[in-house]
Amino acid sequence: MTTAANGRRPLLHWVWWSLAAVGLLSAPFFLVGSGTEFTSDILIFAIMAIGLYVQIGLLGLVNFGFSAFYGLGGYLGAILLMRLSPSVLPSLALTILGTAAVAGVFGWIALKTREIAFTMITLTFSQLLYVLVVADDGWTGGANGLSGVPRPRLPQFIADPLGLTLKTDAGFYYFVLVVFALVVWFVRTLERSRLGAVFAGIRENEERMTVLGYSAHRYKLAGFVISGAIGGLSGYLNATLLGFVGPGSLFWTVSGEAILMVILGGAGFLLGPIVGAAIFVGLSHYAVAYTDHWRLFVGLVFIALVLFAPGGVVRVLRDRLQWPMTRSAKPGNVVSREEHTA
Amino acid sequence: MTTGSLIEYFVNGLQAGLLLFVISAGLTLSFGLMRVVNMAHGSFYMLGAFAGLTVAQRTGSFALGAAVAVVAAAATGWLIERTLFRRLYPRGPFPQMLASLGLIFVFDELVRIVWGGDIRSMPRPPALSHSYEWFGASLEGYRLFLIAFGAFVSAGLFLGLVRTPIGAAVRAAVDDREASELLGMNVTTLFSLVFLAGAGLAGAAGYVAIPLVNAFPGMGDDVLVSCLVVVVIGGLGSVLGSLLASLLIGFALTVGQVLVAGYAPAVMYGVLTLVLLMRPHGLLGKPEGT
Repeated sequence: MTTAANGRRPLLHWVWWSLAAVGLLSAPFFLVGSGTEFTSDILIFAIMAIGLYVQIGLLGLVNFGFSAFYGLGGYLGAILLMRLSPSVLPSLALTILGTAAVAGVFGWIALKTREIAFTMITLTFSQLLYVLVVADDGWTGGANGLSGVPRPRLPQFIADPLGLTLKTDAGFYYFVLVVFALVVWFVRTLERSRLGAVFAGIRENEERMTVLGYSAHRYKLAGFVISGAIGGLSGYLNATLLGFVGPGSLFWTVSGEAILMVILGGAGFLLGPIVGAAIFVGLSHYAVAYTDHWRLFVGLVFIALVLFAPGGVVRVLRDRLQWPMTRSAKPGNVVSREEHTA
Repeated sequence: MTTGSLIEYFVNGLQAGLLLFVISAGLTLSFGLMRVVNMAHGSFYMLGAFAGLTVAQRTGSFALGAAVAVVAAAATGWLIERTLFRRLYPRGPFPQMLASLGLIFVFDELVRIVWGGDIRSMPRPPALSHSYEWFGASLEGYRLFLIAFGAFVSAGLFLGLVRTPIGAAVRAAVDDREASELLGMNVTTLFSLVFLAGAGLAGAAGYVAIPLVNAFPGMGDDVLVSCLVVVVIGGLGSVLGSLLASLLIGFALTVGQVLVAGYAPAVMYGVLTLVLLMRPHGLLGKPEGT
């Protein structure tokens, strides 16, 4: 279902989104047990997937080393919270800046290569961080990681009047929800902006953009840095949610999971990585009750998806089942496009 | 630094490099021939190791285990190529990488289901367990065996590529697939063959490496990274390049282990970055698209 002729979305669209918003806002009130923490988990991975989406979906850069930013965000956040200041603003800001800086360096090097070499070199970057973190005992806790990461403290002027804290499940959940909303708003605005249009142009036909006078390298680097910063943000949230960060978060297979989430949901829509993250995290929590081997199932579904439904779940829902979601989609994505033959 | 330890480092580095080459050769050829990047190549390494290990433990025969390792890995490779990769050729490299990513999940979990999640080990076969003294160096018989194995495979591979008709066909197809097809070569079948041979080699390497590094689900994921480094440094598609790169990496890792201990792999990534910055197509590779 797309827009009506006068460009306004159907009513069903607004109903759907309002319900979702209400659901998210009231979650801690009706979820029992670890339900709230689980929902926070979904949102955090959704943020991570959205970060990757900026690279894969908007720019067409297939990065197999996204875990580098995710893990780096976790470690930076943990170290800053434990050694510098337990307050949320400095640790969060510095984590994002630090991750963005590293993304700048990695991106500058990686973007000198093309396509497959780019994918491989990004993969090795995440492995590089993994090795460094495991080898260094002093700052990173080596193979055991860092435990006892505290929940960040809200600044006084916010916390005191309303008695808010991040130490409770619900408190932290709302913090994550706010960050999630901001990230979604940010990326959505980015997509619809002129910068987003340049990104799309680079994705679809880089040579044409270069001929038109755009420095593709600079724009790709910008996208890479934005993407990495969002990834670092999600890592920070994950570390503070769990109170722990370990080298496993840097191993390249975690990047694989991130890619899986984006492609599963659909790399052509902002909703895609969100849906993909929800499905993946949901499976990992609930399928465990039925079988320890849910990854086998997910792997098979993923392969089937790449073969038969490369647009992802969202595209299937939208086109085949006519669910009312998203107004427009990009003509294709890195998975479903046919290769241009020379 | 004694002569003895220098010799030991050299031997270890040579062994690591040659073994890495055996594993990576398949990946290099797959890419050179069909521009296929199989991220699940490490799964062949793992499957060969486990299949061979099971047989070796049941029958007590190291050699039989090796044979089964090769066959099991090659068969899996053939199966994947026929059912999965063949459908993805026209779609370009990324769908292939993504599908093979799914395969990693599947194979890692399959191994966990069948063999459990524990680390498995295998002792060195008695015939290869002796140590030899040589100019102050203590050389493990098994490592020498691995060097011989690696050298044998490399020689066989190069002779095969240079001296046999099939080898010529492979080289022609790597050079220019369209022209080869126009000349009547059945490149698709050729590729199946190359793919399953590469898988078999990786499986063999996985098996013979068990006495050194043990076997565990997911063992291929780590190895894959080194393979990718080799393939990228050596030049996507160049077998000689992979040999040189493997030796380079093998020595770098071994010497790095001595000098900077846990940071050794970081040295490898540093080398990769340097090479890529100076020669984006790898040491001996061709620019993509030609």
